[in-house]
Amino acid sequence: MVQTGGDANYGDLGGRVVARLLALFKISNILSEAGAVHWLALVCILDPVNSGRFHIASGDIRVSRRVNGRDMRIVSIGE
Amino acid sequence: MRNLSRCISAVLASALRNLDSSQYHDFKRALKCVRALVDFSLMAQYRSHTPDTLSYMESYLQTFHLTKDIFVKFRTSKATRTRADRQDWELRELMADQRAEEVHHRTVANRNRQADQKRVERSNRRADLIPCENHINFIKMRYMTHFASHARHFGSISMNSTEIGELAHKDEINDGYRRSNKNDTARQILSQYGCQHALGMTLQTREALSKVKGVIVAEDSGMEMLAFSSHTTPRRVLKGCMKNTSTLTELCATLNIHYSDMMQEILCFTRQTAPDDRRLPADPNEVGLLPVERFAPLEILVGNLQETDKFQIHRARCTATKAFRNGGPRNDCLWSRLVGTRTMEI
Repeated sequence: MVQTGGDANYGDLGGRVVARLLALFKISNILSEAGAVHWLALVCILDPVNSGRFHIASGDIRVSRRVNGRDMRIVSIGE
Repeated sequence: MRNLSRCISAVLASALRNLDSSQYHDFKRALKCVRALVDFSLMAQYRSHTPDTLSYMESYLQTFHLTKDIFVKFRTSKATRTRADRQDWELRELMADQRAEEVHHRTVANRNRQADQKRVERSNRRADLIPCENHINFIKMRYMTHFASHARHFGSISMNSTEIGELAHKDEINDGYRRSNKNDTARQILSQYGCQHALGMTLQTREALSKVKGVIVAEDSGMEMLAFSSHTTPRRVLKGCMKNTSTLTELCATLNIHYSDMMQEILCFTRQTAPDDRRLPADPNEVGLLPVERFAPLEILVGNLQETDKFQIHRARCTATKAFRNGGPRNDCLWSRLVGTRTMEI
């Protein structure tokens, strides 16, 4: 789950969207003096169906692959 | 039975302490029987068993069966009592008829003596009938013989106790049914209990967290996180380093992603970070030179709900573009804290 909006967004998801984890990697900024290491995750954002509300029959929140627009995101998972 | 076994031995031993010689044998036998049953009951509640404990259980049960006949005379059922009354009544009728026939040939003293003899005879016959009909062969007495073999095959007896289900029937099922609209009740009962349980856990967790010092509110996410001894965020560990990836180009080739797309995302991420020394370079050429290490799973230590000093390891596994377990359902979660503005267009 990736927090991308306020609590009022995406219905029952409360501002979070479901994402598929594509890659986990560390990238070291050796060009700077601080030499910071960023822990990053490449995720594929999945669109919530029915505005992120529970599907009544199954009790699940359903998601689908994004058809158009950017679906990949890089998010920080720590340093 | 569990509560009874706590006090029955002491009560009996205390009650039977002053015995005369005629009672001594019977009462000693009664005490032995009760003690064997209590010992058996206590051993049946063990959470684990060894061959020794099982053999003890069997020997206690054997002792109980050998001595239980002392209580047989107190196990007169209603049917036995009815049968004895009927037999008594038939005998009395028969004796009355005989007395009517012989009434002219006997004196009053003889008649009284004969009546006393017949009364004693009736009493003896009743006393003979009742022990023959009494028994302790009922189902609960029978299934105790299976306890040891059950423990050998399936584990401890308490694991298969129905007490939990019986208690659940009262609080969870009855209340849930009462609050439902009586249509499709099973789903409503489960839902009601789930909500109640979740609410209770939430309240307890909040109460526990409010007592813990060092709770911080993480920026941007609005979430409360525990401040650990040396960390301000939940501890995370990257595991499973993959050796064939050392630059972004190789990472893109491995993931089968266009380098330009990846670079666009990296730059987008860089723009959202605070402009300081730790920030990644904004030049794509410089970013392409930076060393990269790729990992498979991310382990996140999440504090337990009630025990703030204990953690559970949640694993976020990376499956790239392939479906995980042939596209089956998965429970992996990934928490992330976005840097910069909290709301982002996606």
